[in-house]
Amino acid sequence: MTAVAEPEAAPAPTERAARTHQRYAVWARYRQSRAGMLGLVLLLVFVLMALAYPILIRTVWSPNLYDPEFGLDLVIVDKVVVAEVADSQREVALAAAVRFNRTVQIGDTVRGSVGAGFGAAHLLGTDHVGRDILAMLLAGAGPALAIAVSAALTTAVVALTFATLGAYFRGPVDAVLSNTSNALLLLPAPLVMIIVGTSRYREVFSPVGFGVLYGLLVGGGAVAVVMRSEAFSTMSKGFIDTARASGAGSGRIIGRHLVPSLLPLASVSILVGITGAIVADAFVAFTGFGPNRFSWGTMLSWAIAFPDLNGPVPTPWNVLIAGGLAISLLAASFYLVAIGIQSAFDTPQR
Amino acid sequence: MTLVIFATILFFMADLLMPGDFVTRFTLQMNDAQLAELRNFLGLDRPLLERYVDYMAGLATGDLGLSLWGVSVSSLLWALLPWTLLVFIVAMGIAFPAGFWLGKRAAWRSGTTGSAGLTVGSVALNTTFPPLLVFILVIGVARLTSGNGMNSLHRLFLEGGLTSQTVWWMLGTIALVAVAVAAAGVVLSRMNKRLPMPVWASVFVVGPVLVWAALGVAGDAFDILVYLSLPIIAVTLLAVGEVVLVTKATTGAAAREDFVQTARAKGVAEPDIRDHHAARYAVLPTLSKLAVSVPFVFAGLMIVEVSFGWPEAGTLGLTVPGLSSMLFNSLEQRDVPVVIGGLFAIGVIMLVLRLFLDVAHAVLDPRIRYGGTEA
Repeated sequence: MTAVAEPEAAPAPTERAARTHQRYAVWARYRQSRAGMLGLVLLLVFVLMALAYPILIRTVWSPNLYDPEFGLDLVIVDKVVVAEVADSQREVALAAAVRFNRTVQIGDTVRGSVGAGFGAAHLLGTDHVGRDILAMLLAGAGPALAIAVSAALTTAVVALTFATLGAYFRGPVDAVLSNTSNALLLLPAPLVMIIVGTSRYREVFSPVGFGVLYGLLVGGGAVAVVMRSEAFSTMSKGFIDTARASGAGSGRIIGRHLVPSLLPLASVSILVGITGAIVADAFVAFTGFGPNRFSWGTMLSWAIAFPDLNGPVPTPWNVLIAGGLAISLLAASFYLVAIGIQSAFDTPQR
Repeated sequence: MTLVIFATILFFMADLLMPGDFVTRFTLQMNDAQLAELRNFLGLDRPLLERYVDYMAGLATGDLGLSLWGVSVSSLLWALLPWTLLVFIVAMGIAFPAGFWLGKRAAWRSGTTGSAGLTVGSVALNTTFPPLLVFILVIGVARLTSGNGMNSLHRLFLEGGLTSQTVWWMLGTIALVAVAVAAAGVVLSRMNKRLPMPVWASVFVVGPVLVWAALGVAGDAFDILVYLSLPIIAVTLLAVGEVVLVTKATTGAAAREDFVQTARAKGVAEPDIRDHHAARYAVLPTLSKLAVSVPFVFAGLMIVEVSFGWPEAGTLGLTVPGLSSMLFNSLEQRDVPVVIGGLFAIGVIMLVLRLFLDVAHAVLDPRIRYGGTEA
């Protein structure tokens, strides 16, 4: 699509000024949308988080204590030996204690370990085996953003290709493309991702691979359906006929006229679409299917799948809330930015 | 046509993606000859294309094939599908009116803090990580009720007291009432009369209950609804945010139309403009925009169903029967026909839903008249 970058006379100064002004006006309207600004701020926070992790783990944080998977910060405490553990923070089962000391009996006090918990060293605390929650949050931000960005780019390319080719060439091209979109629309994308996550190709699911596949499904399906109807109504507008009459080729009309006029709506539906990618990735990791890599979903999965081996622990709310909120807030930030863009372009102009 | 492409995508996707095949699970118990024999018996050794043609031929006659355990896929669907459908329909039945009501109010007060708060809240609901929502619900309810009521219902369910048959009856009744209401609405509008919204809503609640009582299944139906209440609440919460956001956008766009200015100039009261001019005009774009996001709500429903089966959620002793349990169990067992059948069923539901929305669109849109006598 970018192949039509034929050299063009530089825009006259006034034209350039007008364009700059237009851009500034869009930004000014975006700034008025409180939801949009909130989304931008959230997004900025997540980017900073993603940047902070590699820096911190190389400088301040010792990997032994802060690695999201293997770092354990344990505190040695005295535990009471009991027959059945009700609170693993203070008690240990006889069956477990006997393995280290054969003479131990119920009622004795032995040395045991618990997660370090809240403190200056762990601003958000640790889980029950001593993994730092803040470190897990920061470590998960990078992959999640990579998924979001790759999903967004793929969705954009696929959806715009489907919509513009269908609307421009119509006939059989449109028939094939729109039927494919409709078929893909019938299939909930997150479910497909889970199926692929259980498959022999699960290792394809690096963050970027996950994003690309999700982008193909959503871009070819839901977003393409929305964009197609918009592309059709754009094609019937006067400026397309003008361009055609002035001798523009199909590539130029699609690349220079159709795609730019679709971009505002496209960016909105793409941003809304990729919120699903973030939730789907977290869910695949959460179910325990999926590839071996760390993500916020893995974090939640550990919190539930491995309650303390020595006995029940209270529901690990600190991990559940932190991880769940991170997933939701990242998804929400994209949705809020979409609302901002929508309100910036919504007001009639020109 | 779309369905054919859909089934083709499903078939090849499932066959190519699944690691190993059904027979692989017996590798430890059998030698190679036995494995080959089993493959031959199940028809797994035939070329992919041949199986594809077979499958599509079966599909054309409504035969979804056999699970590799020997149960027919359609009987599995018959037993599990209604539960999922019931949760979905009831949740959407609550989420759509509630979301529409909230959304139009938010659009009318756009710019105020309340409206912005509602927007942010809706986005939050829409992007909540479903398993977390389920945990909060389940553990909250477990604290409130100590799980007693649910446990006895769960026992009833396991003993076969709550049957799929009853759920099918419930679904049929709801559909009947919906058709009756739609017919009554059309007749009334021909007579240029209108009933207020609360009347319709109460018909929707009272109608099914009366029919259930007449059929003698009211007790069972009530038990089923209570049993499914948590998934219904979860899905409602997940879906309502999207409805609010879409309604707010479409009603807001409608509010800028000329006819709203005209109504205002004529001195129509502001709530009347909102409800009868702007919101009524916004129903159609809302419906058509929601049609695209329905698959995502459905995916959310699947995730919710699975999350209820998670060990931690098991504190309530609640298993939610439904499509997703079937899908995920057969995923683990590489039972390809069941996976394809389940996904195909989802596709058909989505297609029926889109048809339904198209019909609703045609009925509600005064500009579209199919085969009518007057223009």
